[in-house]
Amino acid sequence: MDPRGRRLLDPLEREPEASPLPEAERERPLRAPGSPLLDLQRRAGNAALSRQVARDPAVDVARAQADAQLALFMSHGYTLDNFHPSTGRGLFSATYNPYEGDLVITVRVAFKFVNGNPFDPTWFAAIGGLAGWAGKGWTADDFIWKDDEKVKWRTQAVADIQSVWSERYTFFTQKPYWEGLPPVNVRVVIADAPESGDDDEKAQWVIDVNKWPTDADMEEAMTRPGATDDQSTGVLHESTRDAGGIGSPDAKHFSRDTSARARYADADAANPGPIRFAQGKADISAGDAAALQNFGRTLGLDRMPPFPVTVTGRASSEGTADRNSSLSEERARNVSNEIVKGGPQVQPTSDSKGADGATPDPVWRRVDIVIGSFESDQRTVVHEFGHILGNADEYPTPDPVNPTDPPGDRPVGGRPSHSALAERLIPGQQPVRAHHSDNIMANGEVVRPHHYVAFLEALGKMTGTLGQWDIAPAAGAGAHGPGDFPVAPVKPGGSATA
Amino acid sequence: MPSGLLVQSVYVSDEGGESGWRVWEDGRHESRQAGAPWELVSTLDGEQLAAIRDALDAGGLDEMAGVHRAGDDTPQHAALWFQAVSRGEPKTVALLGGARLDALDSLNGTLVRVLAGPDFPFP
Repeated sequence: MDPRGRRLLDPLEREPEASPLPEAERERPLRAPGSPLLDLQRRAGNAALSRQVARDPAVDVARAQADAQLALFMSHGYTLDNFHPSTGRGLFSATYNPYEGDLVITVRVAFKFVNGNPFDPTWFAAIGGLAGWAGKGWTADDFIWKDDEKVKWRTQAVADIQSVWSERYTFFTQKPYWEGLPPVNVRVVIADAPESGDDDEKAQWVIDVNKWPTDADMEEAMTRPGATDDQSTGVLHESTRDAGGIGSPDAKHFSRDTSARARYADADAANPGPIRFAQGKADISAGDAAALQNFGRTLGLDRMPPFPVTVTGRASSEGTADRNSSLSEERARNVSNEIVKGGPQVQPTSDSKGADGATPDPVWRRVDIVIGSFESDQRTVVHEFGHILGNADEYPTPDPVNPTDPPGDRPVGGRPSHSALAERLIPGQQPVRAHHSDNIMANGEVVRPHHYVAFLEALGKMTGTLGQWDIAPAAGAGAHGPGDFPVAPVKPGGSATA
Repeated sequence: MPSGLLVQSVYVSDEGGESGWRVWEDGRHESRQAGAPWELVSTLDGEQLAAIRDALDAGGLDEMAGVHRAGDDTPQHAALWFQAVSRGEPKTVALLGGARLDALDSLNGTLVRVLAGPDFPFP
């Protein structure tokens, strides 16, 4: 038997071997479901258990076997060092304690603090040459790390990464009759490690952290490790003169409107506004309703950013101010409701102007519909560690300069490399589509279930239970879903919660 | 490489934004911020232009490979495009995905010092 329990044995066929856990751990009582049959197996062995099962027709054989398997499964811990997710990205280690329901993902990191070189050709071009430098008053301190700055940056970065990536989702076994197995909570731990040394102690990631006066939008990346590599590298760029100073990992603000990519213009094309109304009326015609619902559907496409939409109701100047105010409100509300029926990602914001600035001209009896920019913020380091944890980028590459040229390697609607694994391992998971969004692997910091897929794969591989788990939001703030992602129905005898 | 250009260094970010600087043979020194057009920074005098030409001729561009990549073989979208006339021939060196090249660091340092003059805070 694999001492780490990577292959499950049927206890009816063979006695379990000694647990690899320390003695103190092994002496703890198991929390597996109590069963007279299990007691019999422990007391008298598998042969006795088999005889008992064969004699008693009332015995639920499937449950008895499951109970015994679960007891064996929970009798020891599991470890996996230098795991390479099949997404082709990432490198980390994992330990799983089934008794506690504790999955710890450990990344051993050596942060190397690198002083910026003011003559670096890429940085100098990125800031726009001397014109980008003029009048800034930058000094050597803007390029050279001090010891206290290193400590402060590292402390904050590690706290940010662990906070963003830990305890977002919980894994539940789907194996029949394994209700007694505690849900699996995930903690991500970033551990300092030397750049070289023993294989199981040295850093899995050696990351250059460059210091610059300002963010020049230079490439920050984590290199894909080879299939057998036990170490890889990364590059981060940090700014001295941004809002948080050098002690705080850099954040970027993103703003994307419908002109950002050609396919986003579908939202403009589907926008039926302005919607016109008869005098004193707020009803939506069947034709307008269909167009508004189609607009909502377009805004809800999985390749569309969560564009905010504002609907503004208006009225012509006939009638009282109160009547015009309520009429414009009702018109905006009705338009908004029709859009919502189509399933946009973001509820429209309703506004009403009454007859402000209006004349009796019928053109004022309308609702305007404006698609705004999708805005998001992201700390770069928490995004980049998403690569270390097995995920690819989800933001789309730029459209080709010439529309007839071939698309980039990750066009809008393309499937990032972790999508296939997520579709395979997460029940009900739909394909992940490249687009600008608040996802942590796109432009925001929202961790969604498919971002945990490499953890799920690690858990499955080290316990021999690949594909037997479901996922649900963890208790506590910050978890996204349900409604945000698919939750598979509970299988008979399974322990997933709906 | 545009006709009449002596040297240009253009950075293209992974989202396609372009920024950089360039010097024309007639001495115009221009700069470009991301998302903005090229703007005139100064006009170099004859002495400065000669120093730029000397630096480009002696900068080892002939020995530099045309393309340098950082990290793995995943498609990289951010790039520095350094183009110059050296010994009468146009040369291009591309640094993809944040690649580094010491010889280009050195050449760029010489050029920056010429462009900035004696008041530049880094000797």
